[in-house]
Amino acid sequence: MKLPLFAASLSSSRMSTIIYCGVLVFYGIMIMSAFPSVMETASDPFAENNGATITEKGKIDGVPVYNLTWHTQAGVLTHFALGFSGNISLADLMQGSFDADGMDWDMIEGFLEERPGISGMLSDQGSERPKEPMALDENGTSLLYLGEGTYVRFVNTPGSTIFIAVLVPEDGNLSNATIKGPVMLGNLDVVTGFDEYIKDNPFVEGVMGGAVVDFTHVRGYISLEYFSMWPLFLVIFIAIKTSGIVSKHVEDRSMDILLATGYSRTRFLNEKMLLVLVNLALVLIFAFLGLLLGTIMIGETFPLGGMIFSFLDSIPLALAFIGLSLLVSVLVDEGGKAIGVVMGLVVGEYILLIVANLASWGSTLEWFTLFSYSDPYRAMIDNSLDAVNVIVPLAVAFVSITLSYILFNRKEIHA
Amino acid sequence: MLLYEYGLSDIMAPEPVIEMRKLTKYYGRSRGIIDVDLIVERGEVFGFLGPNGAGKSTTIRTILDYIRPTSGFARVNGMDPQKEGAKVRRSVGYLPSDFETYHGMTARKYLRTLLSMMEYRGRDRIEELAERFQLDLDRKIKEFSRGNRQKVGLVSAFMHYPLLVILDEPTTGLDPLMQQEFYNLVHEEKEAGRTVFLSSHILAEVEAICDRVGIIKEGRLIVVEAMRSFKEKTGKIMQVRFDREVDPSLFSSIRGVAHVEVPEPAELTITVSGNIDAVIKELARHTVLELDYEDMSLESLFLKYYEKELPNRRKADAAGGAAA
Repeated sequence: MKLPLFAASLSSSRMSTIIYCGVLVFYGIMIMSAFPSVMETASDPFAENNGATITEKGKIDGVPVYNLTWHTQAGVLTHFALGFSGNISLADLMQGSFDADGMDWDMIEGFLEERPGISGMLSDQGSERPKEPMALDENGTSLLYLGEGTYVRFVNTPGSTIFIAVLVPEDGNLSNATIKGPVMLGNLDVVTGFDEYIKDNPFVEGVMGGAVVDFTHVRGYISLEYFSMWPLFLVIFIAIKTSGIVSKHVEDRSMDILLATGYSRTRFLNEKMLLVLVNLALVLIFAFLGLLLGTIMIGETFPLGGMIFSFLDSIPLALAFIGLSLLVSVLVDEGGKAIGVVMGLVVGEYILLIVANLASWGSTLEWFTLFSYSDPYRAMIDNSLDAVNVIVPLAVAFVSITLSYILFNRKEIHA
Repeated sequence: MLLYEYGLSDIMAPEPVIEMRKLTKYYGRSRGIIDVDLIVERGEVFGFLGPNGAGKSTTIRTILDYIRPTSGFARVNGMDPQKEGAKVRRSVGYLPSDFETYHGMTARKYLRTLLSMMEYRGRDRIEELAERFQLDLDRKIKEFSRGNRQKVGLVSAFMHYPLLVILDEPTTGLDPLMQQEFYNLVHEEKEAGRTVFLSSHILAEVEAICDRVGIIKEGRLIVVEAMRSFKEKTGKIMQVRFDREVDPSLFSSIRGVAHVEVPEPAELTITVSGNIDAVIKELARHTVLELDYEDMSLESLFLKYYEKELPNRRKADAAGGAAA
């Protein structure tokens, strides 16, 4: 069966498709080529957090030297910095509320009370500052600094991995103290049991938009760095391609001559839709290739199963926006205006998703944004597709495409 | 039904080729066309004449199913456009006004694509027509001037030997030589027994190539006439400057002179319908310093027909109102 309109349209739009596919390959390679350096940085995933920063400053006799700095504020009597050598987990530190000062002081206070060395030290304000980390207990807690300054450079002899700075108020009451940090060193998961913690704390996952993954592994890295924006990139491309199907040809009057060949309106849409689907397939294939090549180039193992599910997850979403864009294209006779309306729809839907994720009252908004029916990183991690994420977008696609065909067959094509 | 043919002997088109009955189109409350009744027979060249916005394109777009009539019906090549729009369009060669297309293609590739979309597998006329219109088929359409793009449209309308060709303002952008070539082509198509329906706002063009003419104004088809009788009515305007004053009655008394005006003491404006021989002979008896000879303007023509049609229409409207 010959498809001359499809062939002609493919030929006339080939440059933009080639460019976009090329960009996707380049983008995939670029993202993956950054992975090694991200890995390096990711070994200190919380090197900067809540007003505290820790940076490595070289080594002395093979022992790393670090600089720990923190922000201070008015009404502070003294500061002290503590290091923990791993016997305290991220879960211990972060459990509780996330208020402006970082952590729940009750938990920290309880922790400090169990370590009389600290309380004793605080009761003696005139004591000399430690010149090197001072072990406070047998559990690996060290005092790194005590005084009015806002930084300390220290040789990490205790092998501490988690650090905090405590700002003690003028009244000396620890209940009113402010915590800066925690900041951490080392592999996040190894140090803190990060994955376990996230799994056990859906609240934190919710706060972080459900996008909490360990990106020190290729799978997590791709899902966070690539797939967090992928649905938007895909939808924008495919919506632009679709929005001109009818409107552009009506606006520039080329529709007249194309239909004058005896093409039925249904056949016209069929071949144009085939072109969009081919574009969708090409974009998926080239995006996949880009990530595959990039992963091979850095010598990592390609997470094939997860990748396939991630890309499959985005297809129903793309089809839904293809349907909506086609409907706009049928209803709006000017190509530029149709693209504007479609882009407004895409951006609006995406903003709705952001609001739904951020605002405490916004969870019901998720129902109204198609973007919430795509979760490529979860598909990657779980190696499966969510049934709702497939059914809802496909239903939207079916209704909007069917409606588009009906309306286009009834449409009056004006000169 | 044979829709594309090479020779007259094979042509089996139904008659009439185009039929419109009370065809009416309103765009909301805006007038498109009103009660258009028209029959175009096989083998004739029909000129659809009217100013811009009169309803020419609306009529054509309705009979080709780009837009749907508010009331009335049409048949083209024996088919109802509303039921068989795609078949109707496939059975004709069509050049829309302000024709546009894929600019990135060469003219050859574009025309071949159209033939492929038509599923036309016979011998085509692309090379022949391109040579005739001096069209470079291997250049991209986006590099063409307006006139050359129009030539591409003309080739596309005639390239597959359609039995009916519908042309909406076909000579837009063509230079006079190419216009003449187009007129020759239309004559040849007529001789081959094919039908041409063309809309135009250029009176001389319609006079040059059409067998019959229909005049549309403000959505109403106000007259349909054979070209011979139409020409007799339309007339020409002569503007003459003499070396001295000349008595206008010398010309107004000549048969075929419709009107004589004296714009300046030694000048006459003579409106002639039909044979001008007697007028030329009378002019030869004087010393003529300057002579302009031109067609009656379209507006003058419409006024002339309106003067005749308006009272009739008023009567018809009054009768319709009384019946209602």
